[in-house]
Amino acid sequence: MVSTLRLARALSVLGYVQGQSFAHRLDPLTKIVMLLSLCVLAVLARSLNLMLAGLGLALLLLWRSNVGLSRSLARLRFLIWLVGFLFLVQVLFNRSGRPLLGFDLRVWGVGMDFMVTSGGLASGVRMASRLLLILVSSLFFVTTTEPSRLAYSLMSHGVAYRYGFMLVLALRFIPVFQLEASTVRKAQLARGLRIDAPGPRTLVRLARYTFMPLIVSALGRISTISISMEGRGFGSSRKRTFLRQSRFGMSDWVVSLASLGTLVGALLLVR
Amino acid sequence: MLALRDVSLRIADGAVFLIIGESGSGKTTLARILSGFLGPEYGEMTGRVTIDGTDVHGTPRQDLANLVGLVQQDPESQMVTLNVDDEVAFGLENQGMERSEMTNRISWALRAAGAEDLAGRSISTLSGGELQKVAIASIIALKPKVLVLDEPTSSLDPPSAWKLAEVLGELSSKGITIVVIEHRYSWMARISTGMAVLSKGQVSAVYSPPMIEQMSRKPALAKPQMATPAAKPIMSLDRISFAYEGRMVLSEVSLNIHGGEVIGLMGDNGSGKSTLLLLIMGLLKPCAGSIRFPDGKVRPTSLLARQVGMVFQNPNHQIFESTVNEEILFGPRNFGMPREEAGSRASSMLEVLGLGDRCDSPPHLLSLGEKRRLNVGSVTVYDPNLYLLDEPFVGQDPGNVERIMAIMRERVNRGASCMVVTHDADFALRSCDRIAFLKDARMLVQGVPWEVFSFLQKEGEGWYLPSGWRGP
Repeated sequence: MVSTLRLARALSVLGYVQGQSFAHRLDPLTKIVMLLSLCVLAVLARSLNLMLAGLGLALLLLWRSNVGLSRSLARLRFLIWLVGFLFLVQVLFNRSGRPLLGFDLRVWGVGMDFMVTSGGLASGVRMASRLLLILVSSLFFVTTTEPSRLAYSLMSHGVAYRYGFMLVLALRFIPVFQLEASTVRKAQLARGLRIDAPGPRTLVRLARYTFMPLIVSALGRISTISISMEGRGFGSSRKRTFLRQSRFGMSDWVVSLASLGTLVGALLLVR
Repeated sequence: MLALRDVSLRIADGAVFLIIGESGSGKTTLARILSGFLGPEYGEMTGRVTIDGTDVHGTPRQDLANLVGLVQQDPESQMVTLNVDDEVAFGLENQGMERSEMTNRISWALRAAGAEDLAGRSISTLSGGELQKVAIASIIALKPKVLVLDEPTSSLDPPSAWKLAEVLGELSSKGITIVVIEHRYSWMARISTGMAVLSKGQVSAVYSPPMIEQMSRKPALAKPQMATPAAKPIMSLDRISFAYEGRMVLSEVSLNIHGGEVIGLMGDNGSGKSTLLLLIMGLLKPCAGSIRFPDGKVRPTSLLARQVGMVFQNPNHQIFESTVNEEILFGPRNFGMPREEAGSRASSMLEVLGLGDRCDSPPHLLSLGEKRRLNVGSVTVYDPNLYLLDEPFVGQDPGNVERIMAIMRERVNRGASCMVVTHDADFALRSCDRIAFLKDARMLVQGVPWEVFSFLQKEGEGWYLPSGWRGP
């Protein structure tokens, strides 16, 4: 039971949240265009307002897709903390621009003077917004795109099915290996392998004792899956049909063109 | 090494044919040869396999999909896609079938495999029995003449195994020839039309249906004498519950484990048996209730590990070292056992396990049965008080089962306890002092085997009764 639940959870870690919103119904290719547009905007935009507008749009898209905005953002908790840390580094150590605030931080005589400047603050906000824009738009993509639909969409849009199934198999087995890694860790604990003295030697031992069982298991699975695929004629014919029909409809065209148009317009006019 | 020698079998169209034999007798090799996955290109092979006049090894493998299909031992590992419909469609898509025809064929295959209710489900949510049905549906969608199944019930609970037998009987009535490789065959006896026994790579006997029925019928059981375990429990589980992702996996389970007893832990797939072992081992934390030692204390896993030895389901997940000898020494070293003592215990343990001549072999090259014995030995070598064995006999022949249980019984006679997760009622009746039966996350019944089976019979859980059971 726990294994099945853990597997289901591991799959959900990949991000997809079931739903019927407009964003869910769009072809995955359309969402790739949207994602790329927002990421290009994040990289090329110099205007802070433009970047913040992009971030607002990404958050709006995420909110309108009914995937649970706060719960989805909570998944990025670690990355958001990292962005916060990088923001602080910029604010505290970038001394360009006008001084805004100065303070002396010392503990037991050890520490240094800090100076918050307008340039440091602007640089921190810009960098944080850029990273957040990339993170939130990626989150929008993964929470609204069923992984296997993405693979089938790519195949029906011309990606060779042999490559498409590499993606399907990766999606299929990444959670399985996550689950196996957790079981291996439990087996190590059960046999008394302790990691309460972390150091390079312990880490090397831990990696060795983790990777060895995982690699052996992976090799076994490769043999099984190749028999399973070959036994059902995979790769026997150049032409392959698909049960799933990926339809790039009118709404996909409109959204894709609007995304590209908005990107080009924003960069030309406001950049 | 000769894996098979002079094997000749003639299996009639539409038959349900069983192939049984001990571990390492060549059953899986034969299954792969029958289905065209092993042939002269992989080793020396003489003789030939023909299906309906077609030479299997003279035909490219991809052209055999409509002639013979193989369902492998682990159904979960053979799933290529993430959804039931996609999985059943996979072979049809490879053959370039039109979508409308494909949809009809998928419905037919799911219906024939008794899996029509699974349409549209995500693969990750399926139980072992459901995965097995989807694996069968994905093969028979291609309408092969022969379906070969390699140990299809090894990890199924008895209800799923009996339902699978019904499905296979139905498929044979549709004209598909079924070849089943198995250790346990009682569930197949009533539908099988023939059985061959493999021994050391040779067919040692072939049986007809009346003989198979007769062999699978056990004489009426006599009520066995039970050992009396120590009065004071060495561990007490008090109303423990465990929930995962909002679903109750175990609910208010209480159990006392006494020194000197073997407890069989039984129940459907997904009833919480493995979770219970992980909780006892301290690898999961109960959301309610407690697991206590006689001194009333709760211990962390780091301390528990020395006293409780756990053998997990998959042997490969718990082999860490590069030689058999190093593997046996892994636990003692972690627990700081003196080198000389560890060395002497390891060599005598390897002798007891029958692995004395494999000391320097890489453990991953051992057979499944040998790996299982190594897993048990790697835990037994540091003499814990309680042994937790999670389905240790999957894929094991009776000889290996007896060997492992002899090691356990010797420990139990010295005061240790052993808890074994098993679906095998015959084993539970024969080898366990007590049975704890879980159903829908709750403890349905616990007690001495005879009483538990009598209770299960009354409760309509007839799937779980031992062969030869005639009632209390």
